[in-house]
Amino acid sequence: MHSRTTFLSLCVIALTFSPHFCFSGARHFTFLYETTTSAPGSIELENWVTFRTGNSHDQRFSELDFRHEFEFGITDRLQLSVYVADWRYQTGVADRASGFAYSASAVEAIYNLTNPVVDPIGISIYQEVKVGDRLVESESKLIVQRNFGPLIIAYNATLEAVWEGSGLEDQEGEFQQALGASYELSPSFSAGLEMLHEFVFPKWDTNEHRQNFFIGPNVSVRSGRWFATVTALAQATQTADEPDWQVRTIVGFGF
Amino acid sequence: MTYEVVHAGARAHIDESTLREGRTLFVSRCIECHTLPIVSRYDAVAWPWLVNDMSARAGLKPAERDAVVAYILAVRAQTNK
Repeated sequence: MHSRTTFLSLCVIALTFSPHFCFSGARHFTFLYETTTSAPGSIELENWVTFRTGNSHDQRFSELDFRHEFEFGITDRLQLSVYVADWRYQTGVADRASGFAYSASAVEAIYNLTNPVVDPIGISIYQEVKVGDRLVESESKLIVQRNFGPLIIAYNATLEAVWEGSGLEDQEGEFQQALGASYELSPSFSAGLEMLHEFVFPKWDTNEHRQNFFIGPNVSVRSGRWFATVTALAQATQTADEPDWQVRTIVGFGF
Repeated sequence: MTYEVVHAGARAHIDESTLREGRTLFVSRCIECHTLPIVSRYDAVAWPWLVNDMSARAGLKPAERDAVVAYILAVRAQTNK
């Protein structure tokens, strides 16, 4: 009798919680990184799609960026990633032909320093190097996170340097701050908000810069070995040549 | 690690180093995918099943999985006293 009760209890638990409790290393945000790194020995494929649209020189432009990332857990604190191919489809973008184009490939490392649950604040550092067609890019991040029960608060400070052109003579810099909150409504579903504040320096040697601010909601669902997270951001500033809207989706599969 | 948790583990013949390992893994591996649930949310029968179900994805070896379960059950036992 006792074993039958136990068996029935397990069946109820299985039916109720099975889809929620076997997640892949899930992302709660798409424009921010979290301090957590993948488990040692784990491999995950993440597919990114980012849609951007806005006005430039009185012309509507639209862009779809695709990214395919393989993520490897190396140690308890170190994670390495390879962006196999970033590519895009675009229309109406100034100085670029419409259609499909290969963009770049990249490698990335994230090293975790402190834990967002047991330490006062979770911290990780991030470095990415991207190389493409007449393009070299370096991106460094400080990732900060704190978990308050089911609430995750994350902050990223990013410094980006880009060299472009046939002789890599065009240089651009960007400092970006991102803040996000995600509340876990159930183990398989989270919702929250992301904010992005960008300072773009079109040339390093002048003081010229522009600022953009984006804000919008995010949702994340997880089940079994996959997750999907979507964020829609609207531009709160009125900066020309920058997207009015951007929507990013990341779908991940754990192996 | 409180005395009560260590004592609860000892009653189940779990030594302190195993409980410490379980705690370390619980607060680091589990948050790769979700926030940490309150241990009283599920009963002592459900926890081993739940952890086992997620252990492959969290990269937990059998001994590590057992340490996580032992830690959770020890905390749960002293919480429910």
